[in-house]
Amino acid sequence: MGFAIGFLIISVATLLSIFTRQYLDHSNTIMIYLLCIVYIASRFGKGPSILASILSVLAFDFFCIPPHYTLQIAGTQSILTFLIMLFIALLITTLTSQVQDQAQMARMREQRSEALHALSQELSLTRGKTNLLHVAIKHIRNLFDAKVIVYLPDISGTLVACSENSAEIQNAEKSTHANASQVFDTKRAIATVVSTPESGKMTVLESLSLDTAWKPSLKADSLFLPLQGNKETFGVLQVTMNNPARTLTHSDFEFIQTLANQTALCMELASLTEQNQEAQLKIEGEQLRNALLSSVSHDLRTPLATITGASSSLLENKNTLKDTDKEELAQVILEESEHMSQLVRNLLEMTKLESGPTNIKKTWQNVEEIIGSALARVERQLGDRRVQISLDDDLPLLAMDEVLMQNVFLNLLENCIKYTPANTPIEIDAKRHDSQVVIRVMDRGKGIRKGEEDSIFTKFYRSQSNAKQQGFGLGLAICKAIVALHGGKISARSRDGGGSIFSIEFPIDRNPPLTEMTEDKNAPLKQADSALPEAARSARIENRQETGS
Amino acid sequence: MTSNQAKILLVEDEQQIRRYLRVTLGTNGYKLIEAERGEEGLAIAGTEKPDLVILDLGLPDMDGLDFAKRLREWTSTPILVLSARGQEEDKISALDAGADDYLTKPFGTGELLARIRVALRHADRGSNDSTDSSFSFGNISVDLAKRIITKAGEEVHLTPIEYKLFVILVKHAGKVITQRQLLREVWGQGYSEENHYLRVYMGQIRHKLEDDPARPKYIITEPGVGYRLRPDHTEG
Repeated sequence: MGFAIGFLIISVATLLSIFTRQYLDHSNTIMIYLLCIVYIASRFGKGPSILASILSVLAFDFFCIPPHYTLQIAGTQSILTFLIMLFIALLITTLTSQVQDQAQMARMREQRSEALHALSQELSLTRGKTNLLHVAIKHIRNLFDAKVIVYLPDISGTLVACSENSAEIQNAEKSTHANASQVFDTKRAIATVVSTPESGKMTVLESLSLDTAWKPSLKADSLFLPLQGNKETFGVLQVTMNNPARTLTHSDFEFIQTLANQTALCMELASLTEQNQEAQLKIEGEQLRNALLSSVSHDLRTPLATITGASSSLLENKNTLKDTDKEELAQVILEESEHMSQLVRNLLEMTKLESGPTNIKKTWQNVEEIIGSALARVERQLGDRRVQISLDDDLPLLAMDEVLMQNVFLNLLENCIKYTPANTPIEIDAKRHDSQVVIRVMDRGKGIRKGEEDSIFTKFYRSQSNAKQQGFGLGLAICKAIVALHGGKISARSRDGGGSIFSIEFPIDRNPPLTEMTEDKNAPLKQADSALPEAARSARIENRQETGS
Repeated sequence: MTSNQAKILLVEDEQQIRRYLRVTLGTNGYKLIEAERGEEGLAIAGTEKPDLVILDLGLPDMDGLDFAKRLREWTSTPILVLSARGQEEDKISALDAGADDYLTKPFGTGELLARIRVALRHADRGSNDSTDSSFSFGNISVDLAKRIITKAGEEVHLTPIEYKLFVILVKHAGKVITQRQLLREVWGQGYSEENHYLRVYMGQIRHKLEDDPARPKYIITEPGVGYRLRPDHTEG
């Protein structure tokens, strides 16, 4: 194409020079030719330009230099003119095409730096190693119109191919896998050349390790590069051209290497961040353990000292102790062991709640019943303390874990008993609001200090005003964790007229099963004598729902 | 039978608990035989024919569940299971496997003796195959023959299902009945997982019979396990 246009341009120039040869000086005619050569060189590159140079010298000789229409040269001066003209024409050709190449290089460099910038930018916004890889794969695939596969080591260290396109992995042959492994082990890139897949089967003709210089003649079909960070090799990147006619050059290789390095560095950064976070968690865990240990050693020692003292006194002074004294000592032992048992229970509960996803078993529960069984467990500690309970009549059954929720109320009640004077009442109420049930446990103690409304639910936290009290400070933290597991919220605040209110907002997330009784409530028992099985059957509820979760 | 020369087999690997029970049960007039391991316990049960077995669920050589099953193969001697809190599933499966009742560690002596008395009484009654037709606790009296329940002299009307549930509790007074047992007996096999029926009916029974339904004295919930009628309020 370029050659034809070059030929045409020179022909036009020659026609022009034939018509103007009696008016124009030879040197001016040469200028016209040179101008044409500059144009051809800049538009069509080296080949057409060389052709045009030679053509123009010949045409100039043939048409413009007397004797006309012959290539015969008269005189040495003409020879010099031709030589200089040819020399200048070729010089122009060379210089122009150099400028062209440089411009093209500059353009490519600009494109690539833009591409690199785009990749870096997207990588910097991406979190997680897998996501980083996906970004890199996407960019390289689009830039080169290539198939991109990443090989990552699994736990055992074997490389596994990953790509967004599973078909691409399927096609990954054993040989490519071997290349990937070699690259991963040696950390040196490999270029492969395959035969044209006319036969439908790709065979690897050549596979070169790129630790030595890239041979200028090498046109690679596939590249395998290590994803090499500063310290770690994350995997291997395979780039294979989709179009078999296109190949990868040395500069492509360098560019892909830059992209791969950039990705690897980002991955390294991500893994360092992960490690940092893990280390941070470990430190926090350590601090928690220390707090726990100091709590345990202090809070278990006190009741233990009492138990040891009281029981040894019972043994050693059995002859001198009055019966009432013996009873008193036994009472102390009982109370302190109950206290210890409560501490241990909370400790275990917290550990269980924290040891990962708790096995929560939700079934339909009656709020009244749960509160009742929690109250039964603190019956002795309650003594004569007044407990006022006021529950709405229309409370729905709630889906909750019976044992865990009972622990919530148990802890709240124990908390009230521990921190409020024995003669003050405890009130419990429950109300239904639109989509939730609010259950409140209220006391008439000192209330909650301002600013401590949230922190009292933190593990090992003990209110400033109760610094001397025993306990791990786990009870309310357990309540919070359990209520959260049920999708509810627990909060605490001081109460008008003194005391505190602990309130639990419990979502009614599913419609409780229909429990309307089809049974005739007024049916007298005596007549229902023989009808009992029927009655049982008729109480089947039409709209049965799944219980539990 | 409650003349207290009852023979109790204790299968428990914790030495201190054995020591404590040896003294406590001895003082209360029971004859205690001890076994450390499950196999040993089963062998002794065969030769000694105890009136009651107290079984720890955490035996080193045998699942408490297997023990209950194997014992049940040839005797209906009542089994009282000892277990830690938080083992609700284990308790239920032990009860399903034939255990009669359970106690959660740590437990008090009063509670232990009450459970033993109830278990022995039921075993005794089982052999006679007769149930007293009238029964009373607190201010409530039940006449099973006439199907009349009165509270403080006033007749209380229970619906047929409420009555059926209540009668099961009364017949097993003092003993725990699992949710599944109640559901099966009242509603049938297919209903053993529909525990919301129980929640509703038990709530209604409490509202009819208890003075304060939120703090029941007689119809006690055993969280995660089932229900128990506690006829003598002072026992707990």
